[in-house]
Amino acid sequence: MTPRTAANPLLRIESLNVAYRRDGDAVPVLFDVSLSLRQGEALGIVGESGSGKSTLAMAVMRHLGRAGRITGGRIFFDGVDMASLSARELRRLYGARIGMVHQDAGLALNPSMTIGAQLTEVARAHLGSTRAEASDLARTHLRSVHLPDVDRIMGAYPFQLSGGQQQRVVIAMALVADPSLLLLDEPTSGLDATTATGIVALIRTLAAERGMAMLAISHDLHLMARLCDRVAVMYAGQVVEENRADAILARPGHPYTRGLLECLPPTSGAGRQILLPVPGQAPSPGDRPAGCAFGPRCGLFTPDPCGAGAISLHLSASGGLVRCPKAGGTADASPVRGLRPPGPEIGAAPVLLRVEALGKQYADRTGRRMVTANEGISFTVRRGRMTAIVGESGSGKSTLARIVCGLETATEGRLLLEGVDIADLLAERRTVAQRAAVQMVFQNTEMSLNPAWTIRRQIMRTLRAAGRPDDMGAEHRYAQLMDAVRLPLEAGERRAGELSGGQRQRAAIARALAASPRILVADEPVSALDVSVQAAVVELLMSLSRERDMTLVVISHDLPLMRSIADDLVVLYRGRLVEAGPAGTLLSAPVHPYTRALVAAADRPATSAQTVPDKGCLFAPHCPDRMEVCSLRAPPERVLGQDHRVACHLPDNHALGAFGEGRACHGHP
Amino acid sequence: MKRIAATLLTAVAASILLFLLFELSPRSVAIATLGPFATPEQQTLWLQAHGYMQPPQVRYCRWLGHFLIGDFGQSRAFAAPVSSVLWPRLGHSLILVACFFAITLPVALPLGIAAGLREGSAVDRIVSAIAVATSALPPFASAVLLSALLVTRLHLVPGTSIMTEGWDWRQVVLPVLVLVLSDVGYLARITRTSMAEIMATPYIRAAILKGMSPARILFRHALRNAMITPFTIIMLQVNWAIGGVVVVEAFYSFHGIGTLLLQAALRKDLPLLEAATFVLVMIAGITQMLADIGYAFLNPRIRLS
Ligand SMILES: Nc1ncnc2c1ncn2[C@@H]1O[C@H](COP(=O)(O)OP(=O)(O)OP(=O)(O)O)[C@@H](O)[C@H]1O
Ligand code: SF4
Ligand code: SF4
Ligand SMILES: [Mg+2]
Repeated sequence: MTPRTAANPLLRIESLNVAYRRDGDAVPVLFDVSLSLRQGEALGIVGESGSGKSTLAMAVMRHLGRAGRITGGRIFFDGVDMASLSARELRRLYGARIGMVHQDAGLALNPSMTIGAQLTEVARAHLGSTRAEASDLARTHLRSVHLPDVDRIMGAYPFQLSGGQQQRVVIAMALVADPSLLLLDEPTSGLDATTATGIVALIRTLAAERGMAMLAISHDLHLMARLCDRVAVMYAGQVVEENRADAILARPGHPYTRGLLECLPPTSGAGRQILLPVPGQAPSPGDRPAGCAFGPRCGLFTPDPCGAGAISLHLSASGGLVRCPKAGGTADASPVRGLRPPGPEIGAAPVLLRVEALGKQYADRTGRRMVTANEGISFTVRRGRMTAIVGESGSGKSTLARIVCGLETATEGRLLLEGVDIADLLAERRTVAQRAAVQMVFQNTEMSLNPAWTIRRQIMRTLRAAGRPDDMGAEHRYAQLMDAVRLPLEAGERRAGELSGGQRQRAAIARALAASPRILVADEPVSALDVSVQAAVVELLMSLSRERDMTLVVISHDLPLMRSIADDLVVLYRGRLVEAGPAGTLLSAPVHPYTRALVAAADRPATSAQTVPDKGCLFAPHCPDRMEVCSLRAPPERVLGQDHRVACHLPDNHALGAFGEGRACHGHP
Repeated sequence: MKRIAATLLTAVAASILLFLLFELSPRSVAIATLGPFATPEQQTLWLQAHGYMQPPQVRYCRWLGHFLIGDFGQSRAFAAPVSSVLWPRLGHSLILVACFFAITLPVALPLGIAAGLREGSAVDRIVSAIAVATSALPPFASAVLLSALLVTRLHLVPGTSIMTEGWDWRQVVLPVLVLVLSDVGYLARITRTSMAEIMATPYIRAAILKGMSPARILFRHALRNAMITPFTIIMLQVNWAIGGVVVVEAFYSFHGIGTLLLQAALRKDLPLLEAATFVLVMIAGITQMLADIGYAFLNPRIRLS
């Protein structure tokens, strides 16, 4: 081995290229990745799912599986070319010189071996320890990761430990043989925030004490900045930016990095949480655009230089490396296309639509009993503020949307469009202006489009019906619309049935836009689409609403998606309004137990359809705060703040106090 | 302890069921024993002589007592004590099963493990091909084929396993081979799938990246977890092989417990039927108990909760 010098870093990756074999083709996933890591230094790799982070780590370990292959470049560990090592030599490196902390510790521990056995075998294999020495060493390391009751843990099986304890065990295991490099793959994913913070602090101290170098991987830029000295941001298999951790947070250069930072929830407490990372999708491997890979999602994209050819890394203004010629330029414009900025303040946004105690009853099949699909629903849609109506299947979201659009009439309550009640007017009985003002896009494009007509014919028809008879203008506006929804004109000559799902939904949106609506109601606009086109359609809707001063009302069962883009939320449960109000308020301080459960679970809480009470609060069977009065009387609706209403018997202070203690989880089995 | 109790409980339940099924109505027992032409007086006399006039619970206890000391009564079909017929037959079946497993396990398990270790390799493809070919062949077909080859053409072994002149090892070969052939591929495939699944788990990757040797990864990390599924299957097959392979026994006139049960049922030989069923139920109970104990060994989560 060559002696280590300053010029000879511990780990050096030189223009590494990796490809996976898929259906006989080699799909490249890493492109010319060059990184180096000095002794005792910590480097964090950040990137979204699929950007090639884990591939990089596994390539360093030369453990890519049968499908993966290094197609170019070299990796030196401690001056030795990893490619030159035999399997036996690699084994002497693994665990001894390079320790690994795996993602999801619970799965990385063998379920049928005790913790003690899994720790001592490392010392026995690499240090030649006797049984007793190995056991002592294991105990010492378990103590060093602050695990209590080491004797019990040595004899325990993984399933007997908590997630945080398992993660600590995995760290201890990586440290047993005192490696000089620690590889960490998402070291805190799956841990709650408090535990994760503790683990990060622990790893930092341990690494500092031992002068150990670290290569850490995560999708969380803030986490990596806390853990590491330097951070490299990866996008679609390339390093797009590399810099000191503090510099990258303070002066991000690449538009993608800036997008990541803008999107990340502020570290301090509540507020508008944006979970959708950067809008759009990374190109799938092997399907990269010419020029900058980030181009299709970049707000600063221009054909030259971005689309012209491969973009190389260069020195950035803040002293790092960045792969964008425009980095460090105008930092003011939002660098990420389509990211929805918050709508106007409530006070500044006039009311467009007011729903007042709206109700809808259907006669059931026999015609004798009535089914209540909506009851007593009130909320406000303000111009420019995107409203999301959320609720589980069967909560009456679509019924509500159909009433708003005039496909059904309400059986009680009022629906005020700019002050005029249209609750019992079907679309054909509304005025032309009223009809045009509210348009709808359905989950199922079959409902929006006539499959036997060409797209062009349907859009032209709506254009004419919207009341502008001059044909020339219509032709021109048709072309504009197709362009707005990014459909080629050629697609307009086809029938709806001949388009892909994503194209059909775009055509449906274009048809709705043809009426120049003030309000666009979209019922689950993306749930029938492939994930890869979902983000693109969401983005399209949001940018259209901005460009055309069109207010979006989106119906969805997907709160995690909605919480990142909506300004106002309306939560329904079994046809009743549960809570409505500004998204920030509902997400940071939900009042109703159902909203709290929704927010805490970031998914819908378990409310199996078992018994629906025939009176009182319909949520009572699942409610952790249920009181006697709840099953006797329907909860009254109260107004808590501007546009904030809730239907629950709980006094306000109780609900607010309860939140934050994890009480919202009690409703789950 | 709990498992032993459970097994005993199964045995008691099985015995009660048997009793209710066959012995509850004394008259039918008498008819079955004395034949359809006995007069009612004869039947009554017989019933009195054999204590059938007492209340059922008393009769059950006595019946069970006899069973427990191995006194199963007199077989009508064989005109001999049931035990003198039953035990040798069971012995034959047990030897058959023992030979079957003694060949199947050492072949199927290592093959499956080797195939699962390197999914997609040559070994894997060969094992899969053999598995598909052999399990597609039903036992009677392989019985015909094997007889044609080994008996008719090569004259290696006798074509029947009737063993009129006492136990003859050469006569066991064919039935065992048929059983092995019908099962070895299946078991190898189960083992392969299980092994491949385990080798793809994050904890095996973790063990590799801890620098453990291939042998240690196989024997210490993978094998125990990978054996859970094959073990379940093997335990189920013990019962299948002991009692269920009437086809093979019948084809070779092998005197095992499967054909015995069949004969007893056809000839309405109640004591024999009861005894054979009871013994088979007991064997099933014992394998279940062994399976549970084996599970607990393989899976600490079961052992500790
Ligand atoms: N035409 C109808 N006749 C009778 N009942 C109906 C009718 N339409 C809807 N309902 C009932 O009204 C309730 C609300 O239905 P709706 O379609 O609005 O729910 P949803 O929230 O949109 O559900 P999903 O998300 O599954 O589409 C349901 O109980 C449904 O069965
Ligand atoms: S500005 Fe151009 S080069 Fe830079 S990230 Fe955007 S598209 Fe790529
Ligand atoms: S009204 Fe009662 S049962 Fe219903 S949500 Fe409020 S506290 Fe729970
Ligand atoms: Mg719906």
